[in-house]
Amino acid sequence: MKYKSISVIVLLCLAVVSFAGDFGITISNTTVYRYTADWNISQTNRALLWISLPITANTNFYVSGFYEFAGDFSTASNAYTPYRFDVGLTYFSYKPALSTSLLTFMMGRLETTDITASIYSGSYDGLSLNILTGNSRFDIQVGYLGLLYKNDVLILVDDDDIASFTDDTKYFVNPRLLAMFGYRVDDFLKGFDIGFEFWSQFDLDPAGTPTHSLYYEPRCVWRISNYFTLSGFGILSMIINPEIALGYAYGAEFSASIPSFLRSTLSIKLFTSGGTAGDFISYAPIRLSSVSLYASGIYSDASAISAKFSFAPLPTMIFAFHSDILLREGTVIPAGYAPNSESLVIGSEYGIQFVWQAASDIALLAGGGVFVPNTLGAYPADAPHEWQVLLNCVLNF
Amino acid sequence: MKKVLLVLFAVLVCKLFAQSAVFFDEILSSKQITFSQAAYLVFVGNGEYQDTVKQEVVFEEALKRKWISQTDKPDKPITAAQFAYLVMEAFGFKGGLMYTLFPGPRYGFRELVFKGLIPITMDPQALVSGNLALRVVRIAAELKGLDK
Repeated sequence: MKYKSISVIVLLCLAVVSFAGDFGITISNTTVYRYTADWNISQTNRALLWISLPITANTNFYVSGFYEFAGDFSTASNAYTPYRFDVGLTYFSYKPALSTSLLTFMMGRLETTDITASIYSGSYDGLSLNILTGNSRFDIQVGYLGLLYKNDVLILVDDDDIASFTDDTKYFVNPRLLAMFGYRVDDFLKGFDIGFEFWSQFDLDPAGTPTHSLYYEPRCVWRISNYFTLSGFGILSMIINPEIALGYAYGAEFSASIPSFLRSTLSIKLFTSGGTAGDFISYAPIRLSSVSLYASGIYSDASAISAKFSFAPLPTMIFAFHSDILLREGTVIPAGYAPNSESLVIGSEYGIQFVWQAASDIALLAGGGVFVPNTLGAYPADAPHEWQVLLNCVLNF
Repeated sequence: MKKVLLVLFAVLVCKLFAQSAVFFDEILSSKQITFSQAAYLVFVGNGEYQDTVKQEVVFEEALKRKWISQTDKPDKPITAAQFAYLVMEAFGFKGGLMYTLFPGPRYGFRELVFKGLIPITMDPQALVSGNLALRVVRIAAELKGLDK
């Protein structure tokens, strides 16, 4: 079986080389070291083979698949998956030659994200239609989420998802239908872009209670000058289970760029993942995402106010320093937080990142930071700091 | 409008090439340049040869330096990957790890995509238009400071 698979891959590569197109292998190594009360190392190594095959001037076929090793190691336990094979980005694309607009149709295993990556970001199996005409852009995407690896997509909308996620015998995420529609106008007014997206997921799992959700996400960007940008967004969510419950999230960002000073950028950002309060429940996106960078278990009922300064001593090298303060928003409290605490401050985070495209085919990323819990009335005085260091290296053959 | 753009483009490259307008008309209107035209552009663009050189001479020179394969013919259309390798070698660009280990059209193409000289959406086996070839050579010369 193994020889058959290898033979098929070699034949495909030879076919690509013989006719047209391109192929390559991307090898990546990711190591994450965490230390709270005890240490933990997550190790992921991936080798991805991709083939790009132009069929005509307007149509292209792209296929990719990967082998992955993943392991978690700590003093308490060691667990690892020695091999996993899965399909990566794989699609058939069609871009007809139009005179005044640009249309792209894609079908296959595609990747997507909402404007602010606050609803869903990841893969799906389905269709995508993108139309660019004048300063307007339309996006329509429809797909199935039931053939994706549960640890990759992190869809944890309801209790059935959590049960499935913790069940080691299950590989795929619970089946769902994903649909989105987006519309954006650049330079609606001079330097002012507006847009909105509708996202929805429909639970197709015949077992358990179906939980559907809908999201509306408007966003605006104001490019004040060549140096200053102000943006903001809001999300209103509706969870149907079968009762209807509303949730919200919002954010804003101001960034100032000083290209003449080491291509530096300073940005100040607010992001709130709404909490249980009044008529609202905790904000639940399709893909689980954290408000914090280093603190564990803070997914909603919290705000992060962050400041980030980045500079690029070389065009291919970026250093970034960031710091944020985490605040409570709602009634759900993080694990370890004093139940009766009146304090709004959860804690603060400090970190540094380094990204270097060392050559056309080698990229390095290193980063690390710490979450400092608020021990003045929120966490116990001996609450440990949460440390995290990430090293990532990518090599393209 | 298209003609105006073509004229402007020709003016931009005139620092590199003082060749006759006939040659540029031929190149700019060409949807696919040949090996000998590509060799002419890179050798004149890097300053090794005067613009009066014959295309056959620079084609032979590229062949001698093994920048193009023995099986390639002067009048055969050149692919983006083959042209990228010519540009990489003619202008002495350093490549990444894979290009250093295995210099050739495959990794030469990726280097020029990485440097922004070739569009990321371009297929390495696609044929090279005269317009694109001139643009690539002009930027390559600028990056090497040969346009001054």
